[in-house]
Amino acid sequence: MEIRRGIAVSPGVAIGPALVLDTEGILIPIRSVSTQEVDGEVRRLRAALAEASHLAQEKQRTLSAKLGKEIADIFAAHAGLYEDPILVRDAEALIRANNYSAEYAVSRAVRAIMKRLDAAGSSPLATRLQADFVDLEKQLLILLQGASGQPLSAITEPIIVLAHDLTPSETAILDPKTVHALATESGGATSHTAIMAGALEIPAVVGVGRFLSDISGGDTVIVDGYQGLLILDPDAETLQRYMELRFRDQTTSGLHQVFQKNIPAETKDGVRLHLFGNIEFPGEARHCLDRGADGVGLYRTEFLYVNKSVDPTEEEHFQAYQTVLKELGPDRPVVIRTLDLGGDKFVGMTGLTHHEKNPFLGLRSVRLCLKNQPMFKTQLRAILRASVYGDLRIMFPMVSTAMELRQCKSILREVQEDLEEARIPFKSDIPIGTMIEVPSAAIMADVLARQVDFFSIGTNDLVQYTLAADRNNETVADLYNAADPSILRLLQTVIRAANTAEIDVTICGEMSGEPMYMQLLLGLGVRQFSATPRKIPELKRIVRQLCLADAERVAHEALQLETAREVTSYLREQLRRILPDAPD
Amino acid sequence: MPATLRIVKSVVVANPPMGLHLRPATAFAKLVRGLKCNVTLSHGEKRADGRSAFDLLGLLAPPGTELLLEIEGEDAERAVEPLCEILTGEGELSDTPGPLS
Repeated sequence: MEIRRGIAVSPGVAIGPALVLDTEGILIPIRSVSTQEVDGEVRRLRAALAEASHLAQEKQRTLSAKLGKEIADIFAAHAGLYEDPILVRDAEALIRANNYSAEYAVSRAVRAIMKRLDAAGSSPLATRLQADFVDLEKQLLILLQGASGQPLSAITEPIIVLAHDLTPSETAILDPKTVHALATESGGATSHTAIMAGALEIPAVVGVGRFLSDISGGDTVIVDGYQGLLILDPDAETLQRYMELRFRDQTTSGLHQVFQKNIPAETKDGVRLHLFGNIEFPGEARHCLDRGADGVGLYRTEFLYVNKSVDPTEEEHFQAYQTVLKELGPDRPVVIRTLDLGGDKFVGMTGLTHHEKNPFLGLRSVRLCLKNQPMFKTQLRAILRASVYGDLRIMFPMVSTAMELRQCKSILREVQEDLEEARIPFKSDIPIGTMIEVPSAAIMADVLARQVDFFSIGTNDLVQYTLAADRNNETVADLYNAADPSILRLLQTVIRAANTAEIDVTICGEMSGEPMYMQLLLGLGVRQFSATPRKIPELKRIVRQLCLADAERVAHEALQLETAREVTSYLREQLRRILPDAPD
Repeated sequence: MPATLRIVKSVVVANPPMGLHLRPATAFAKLVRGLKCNVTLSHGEKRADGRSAFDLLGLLAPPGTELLLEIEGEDAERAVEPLCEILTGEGELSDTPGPLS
């Protein structure tokens, strides 16, 4: 078994046989034609360009129904490129001057343009354009060669597509019915591949690094689009674990979604809970609404920094936030978490270039923001400006001391004053919250509670820091367990502190997407949960089976237990009592 | 016979966050192809024929880039405004990375 780590760009889990796409794309032999054939080649070229343009326009039409006009417009632009006078002129000239075949002339002409981009050095714009041009070349070659269709459109069996990279056209024709996941060697969270995979809800991991040489078509692989893992040659235990995960995923979608969407997340005895969605990309706001979420409980803003050589501008931040707020409307809260860079996230980015021996205990997240105030203030300005578009809330991640929280708030105040001076509107009463994900913050929760309007407990980091275990390190991963009694006690401390101070407390780590923990958390006093949007229908279904009094008893009992294993088996048993069909 | 009009104007590219990328470039070229005038955009020593999106993209102009717009011909006067508008667009949501696009 081999576990490869990449960037999780589209959540979900898939297990299946690999379809490995040619790393080189389509190779064109240098081919010349006889002088008599030249006119024929030019005609072929023109016909292929016309056909390509026509197909791109058609794709635009079909995709705008499927993915919305904005994604589809990429293909309208492609259609324009196929009609480009310079492309036509250059390719024709190559055919006439050198007796090149139409294929070779196209390839040469497109590559000449790409070379010009290369020469200018790398930039986000150049990278994006390169991908579009590669796609353009491929489309033309397929048409010219009369190829037996693209490999991706001919798939009938469920498979997992592995490739060095996928072009936008290739990704767009993927059918989620047959393509169960994607993993690519290259690419970043903002690549077209990532965007399309997200929009189609195909689990995907990109930027895995070289792996294609280690795998043959037909091998069983697992793609974990939650954690960004590609697992080659999985062992029996891992397979079993992922099959359960996949089963749970499947039951959450489908029927439940339609059925659960418009009913409130209310327990049997009438306690109204709030189920929020965790999102990373603005487009996911729609996914939250589609699944009947009460709002966005965690908007991770790091995506703005991925694949960038320069920091995003205030405007880029603003546009993204505004989009989400407008989508959610005035009555659904959107909790924007300020930058949580560092640790395992986008190391090597601006400001993170120095080497740290222990990055998880280093300059990450809010610590980095406090050290790099211009960056922090840019984001805060954008958040404040966006606040007028809906029910926005600000949350600081990785706070470990009351002092840090004070610093964050005072910087926020400075930014507010700047905006006031510039007469730029923003909401003055934006609720401010802190993540509780460092044990020191959990222990000091009663003090921190006086400084904020809400807590959000990030269980992933809280578990890792409390148990001093890296879950990505196989040798200690078994220690990493949210069911550990130490975690239960910390949760109890934090939730009590919040309830005493009468502030909201949300659980936003993976724990809140786990059905097993719902009763426990409800019993401990949690009324708000934030999870991946696709988990919401299932969570709602469970909530509607719960009873506050039972949940309180379950929480009380669970707190008496001594080991994670006992807690897990107790909670599973309790879950089965209310949901007999619950998976183990 | 009216004198051939020649307009030279400096334009700062907007269209955040990518600048003069696929969509604005194809829109620009399409517009030029429908006009009776020659349009050249230049960025330093790099010059691009306004009729070709490929040529325009080769300028690699992110937001904030100052380009020189030269228009010569019958339609020059009425071409200036719409061409500048494309270059200085506010950008669309669809131009930002992320599923905004």
